[in-house]
Amino acid sequence: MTDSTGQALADDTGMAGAPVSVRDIYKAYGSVRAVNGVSLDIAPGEFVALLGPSGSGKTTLLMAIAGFETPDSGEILIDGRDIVPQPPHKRGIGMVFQRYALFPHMTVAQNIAFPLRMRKVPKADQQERVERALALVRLSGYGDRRVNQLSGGQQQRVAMARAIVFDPPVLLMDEPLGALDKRLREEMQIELKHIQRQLRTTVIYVTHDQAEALTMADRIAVISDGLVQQFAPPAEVYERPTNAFVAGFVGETNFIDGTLERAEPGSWRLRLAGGPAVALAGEEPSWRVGAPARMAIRPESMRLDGEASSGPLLGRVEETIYGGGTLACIVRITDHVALTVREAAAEGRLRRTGDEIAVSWPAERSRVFVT
Amino acid sequence: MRGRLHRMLHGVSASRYSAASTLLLLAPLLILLLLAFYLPLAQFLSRSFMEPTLTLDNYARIADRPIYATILLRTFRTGLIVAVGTLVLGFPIAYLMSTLRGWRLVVVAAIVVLPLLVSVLVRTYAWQVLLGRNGVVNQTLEGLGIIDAPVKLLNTEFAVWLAMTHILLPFMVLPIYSSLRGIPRDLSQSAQSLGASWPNVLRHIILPLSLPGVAAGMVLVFVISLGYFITPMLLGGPTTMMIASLIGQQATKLLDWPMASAIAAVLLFVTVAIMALFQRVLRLDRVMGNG
Repeated sequence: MTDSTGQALADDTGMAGAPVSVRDIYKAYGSVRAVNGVSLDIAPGEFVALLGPSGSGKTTLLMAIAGFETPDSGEILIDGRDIVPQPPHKRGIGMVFQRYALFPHMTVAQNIAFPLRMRKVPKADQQERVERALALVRLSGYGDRRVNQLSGGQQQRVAMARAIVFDPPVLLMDEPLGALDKRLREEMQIELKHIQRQLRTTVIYVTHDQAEALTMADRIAVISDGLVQQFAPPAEVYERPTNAFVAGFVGETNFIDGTLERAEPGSWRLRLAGGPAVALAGEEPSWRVGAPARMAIRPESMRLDGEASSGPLLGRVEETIYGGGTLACIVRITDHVALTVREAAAEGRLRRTGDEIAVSWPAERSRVFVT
Repeated sequence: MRGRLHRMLHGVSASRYSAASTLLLLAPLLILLLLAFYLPLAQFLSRSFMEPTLTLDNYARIADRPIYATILLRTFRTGLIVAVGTLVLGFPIAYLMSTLRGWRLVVVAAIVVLPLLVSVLVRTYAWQVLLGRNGVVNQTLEGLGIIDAPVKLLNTEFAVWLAMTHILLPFMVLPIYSSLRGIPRDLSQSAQSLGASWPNVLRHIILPLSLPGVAAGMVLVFVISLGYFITPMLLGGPTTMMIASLIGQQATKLLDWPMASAIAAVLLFVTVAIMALFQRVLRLDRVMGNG
């Protein structure tokens, strides 16, 4: 798997990522079920984000793949081979830790050479591959620096270089950008993605930042309560969340609770508690007349004072928030329902607090989950 | 100067106090040390070349008679052996402690620290009982058929090394533990993920990063053992005399205070020289590790 002849770490050598199959992984700590039956099939070279709140089990899952946690049951296949019985150092998986975990008593070059040293790669090859890894993360010439002389972003790149220098078929990343400030984080997101495309390594990337997952991943596994809630490409997770948790966790969402009713066959509506009803598009097998349901709709799908196939709901402007490119308007509909509407700042007029206003949206942009 | 004092006194978090208030805070201790330690020390050491008149006779005597050099060397050798002994025994304990949490840590830490609460005298007598002609060790060895007749254990240098290693063990374990505890867990995890087997993690990550603690422990144990008095006297006997006993003998039995003071001065000088050398070697090591 690992090419120790000195070549590789580039895209013309035919090296590529390995497929990863996680099958029915369970892991409990006492009575707490951290991972509660997770299965994922990840294609070679795919970038998968494990997205979830803290305590969702995503890090436990990652640690199980790395070998630092032993699952109670289940299999983890890399290239078709179950790696669960193997100790971490024999798995050949690269890993970037949250706080980089660089070795403080070694230089940058010594850090990056470490996995090569452990694999007994000849000295001359080591040097060449370290140079190439440094070039890849744009740190050429930094080899002799001490680790603590580097900025956070630079340390992050060294950690990355060290994790990929031995051409692992799978690269695990545990919130690698969590410690960086926003601007640097966004830069690094693009850069990491770029490096991954070049190496074609399979990447499993743990994050609690939904924007990061949306930006970087080929597919996102949304995890909560130790379960995969949805495993799909970013656009699908965002546009068609499979449940209210996913809708709420990924992106901004307005929730409207109500009861399902059917005006005529195939024409469903959601009636707000003691209030108006709004039209829904389509039909789902789980819908029953009288069933309590929760509707989710993105702020940018809603319009103020406009014409659309669902709504309008009447309310009063509670607050407007200027956000640079966009303008958010919070509209109070009932005591329990306030909707956030996001318009492009160039289009939206500044609404005055207290103004009466109508909110509407294309019915097909809403998602309804029976609760 | 001021900045330097600051850095020295405050370490990383600089300039929380002004130099004046820092000195004020240190003043009670400084005054106590000055009056109760440095002044008497200077007075005592000055006797080695001031009595009866300005003279270097006492130092000449030390240089002339090989017995002094022998005892000095034996003292340093004992210190070194005890330091290495406590290191070999103490490192695994410190490592074990660094992996424990909660009540398990409390139990092991208590086992390590509690002996410090028992007087050195008591622990030394305990070794006398254990190592005696009909002591537990000899009886056990005989019972197992390993030896036919009791072996002489008491009044040997070995007995001194053994007991001092036992007594000084906490001074090795605690500094090593504290530096091991400071090594982030994810360092050894990341080393493993990069392909390091357990022995390699120990060799390339944990050992080098625990060196400051090892050095501190070595210095502590070595320096403390140089001044050991009771244990060598009770377990070693007259042929294995160490320098503290020699100084005591000169001062209290022979009442030759100038001579006692000269030997003490030599001990102090050689000890400081060894420490300085040690410090330099250690610095060099660190530079090499980093460079």
